[in-house]
Amino acid sequence: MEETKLVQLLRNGEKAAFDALYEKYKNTLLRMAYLVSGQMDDAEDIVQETFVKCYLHIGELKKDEGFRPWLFQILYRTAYRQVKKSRREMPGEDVAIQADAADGTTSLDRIIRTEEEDMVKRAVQALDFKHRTVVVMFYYNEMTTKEIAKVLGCTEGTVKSRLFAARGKLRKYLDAAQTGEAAAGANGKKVFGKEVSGKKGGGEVERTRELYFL
Amino acid sequence: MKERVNFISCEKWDRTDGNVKNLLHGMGERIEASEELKKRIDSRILELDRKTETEKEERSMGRFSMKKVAAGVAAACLLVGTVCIAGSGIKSISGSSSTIPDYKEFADLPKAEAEAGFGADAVETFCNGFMLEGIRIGEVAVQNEAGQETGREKDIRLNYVKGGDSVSLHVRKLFPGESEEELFGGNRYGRKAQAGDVTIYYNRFTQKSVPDDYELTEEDKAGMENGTLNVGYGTSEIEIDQFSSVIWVKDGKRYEISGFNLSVDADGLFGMAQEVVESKN
Repeated sequence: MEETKLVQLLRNGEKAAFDALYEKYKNTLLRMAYLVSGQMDDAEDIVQETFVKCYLHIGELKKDEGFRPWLFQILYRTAYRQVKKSRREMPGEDVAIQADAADGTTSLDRIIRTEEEDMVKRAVQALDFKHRTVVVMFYYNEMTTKEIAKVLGCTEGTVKSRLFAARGKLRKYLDAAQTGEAAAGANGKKVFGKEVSGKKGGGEVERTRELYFL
Repeated sequence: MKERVNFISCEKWDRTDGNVKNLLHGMGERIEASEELKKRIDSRILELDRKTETEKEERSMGRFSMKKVAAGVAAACLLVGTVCIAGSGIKSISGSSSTIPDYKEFADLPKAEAEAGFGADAVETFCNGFMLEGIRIGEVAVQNEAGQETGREKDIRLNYVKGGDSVSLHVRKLFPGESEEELFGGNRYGRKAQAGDVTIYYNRFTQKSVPDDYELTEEDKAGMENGTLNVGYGTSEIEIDQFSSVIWVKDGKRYEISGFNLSVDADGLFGMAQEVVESKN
């Protein structure tokens, strides 16, 4: 069934339409929420709150065909509040430390399989929320800057500006992590990368990176 | 052992760009929503539905909570107006309707009028571009000072849209004890305009929607006291909206054009009100 038809049925209180829309968007939203929040527990809370708000506020959606950006907008706002609530919007130093701490204790091993994925996740998480969101929507959701602007409620120029800045920060972070040489860090401070070896969980030996901010 | 690909050492950022994209996709594809998540969502929705039903029952039994009525706005019901009229024996008038239109065509207005039991002045399209989106039949209830429901009437609500703006034209008959003087007395209405014999009053305030456990600040209390702030309970986070409306009485009926966060200013609303007043002249 077409999405606009499902939205119309949902407006009429059809729970089956809600279930169908949930099935369609559940993984997209959960993946977005995970990439933005960096934590699976938070991601599930964000998605739960997003769908509940969708169900309750569907009457406020102005045009049926605008459901997708509207739903993403709810997710974005919910994620912002959740991340803020979880106090994960910390200074850059803490972000790196926290990422290390979470590495061996969450479901990351299931999701992160290569060192490069680990590095990219850390780099994305080191961005502030606004830049991180734009990066996820642009690279993961493959949304245009115009679509992102609609979701974020800002101009396309602002999105482009944030994307440009985010790419610059990502590049510097990744370069520094890769080469181990001094470079400007994601938070604008000088960062030095160094490799350390260690054991974790099941005794697997792996190479991890720690970042030092000066 | 984690495999290692030395992609970061590439010279061109666009290659890194592509790798970031691929890696995010790789991570994302390993994430699947659990069945438990759906159960949590359904359970939460069921809980909220039950809460709404309980509130409806409480209202029908006369245990009318203004806090809960305000919360009903967030629960996809429309609150159409609440007013205290000193000396009239009326404590409050409030109501709600479904968000789903009963009629979508202006040609169906006579059907809505027949259903509501009274005629209403209205236009299909306003000169400033607002176009009719739907017509709904709702209900308004009046309570006395003791909190008892003393009357209930149907009303007509016409919804108009233009771009991202949405306004509602709400029409109902005056209840016994209501009069223009009592409705518009005091200092609540800052500006007014004239359309023939009809006086149109402009009203604007900040609507602050807050969680149930929200404690009013001194600033909130002052705003509520002077009529510039209305607080509604029941949202998960604090939300601020600007409400503006024009209200008038004609032929024993109360008319109101209203909306949240409108790009139309007071003069624009006065113009729309004038069009409605003159629509059947």
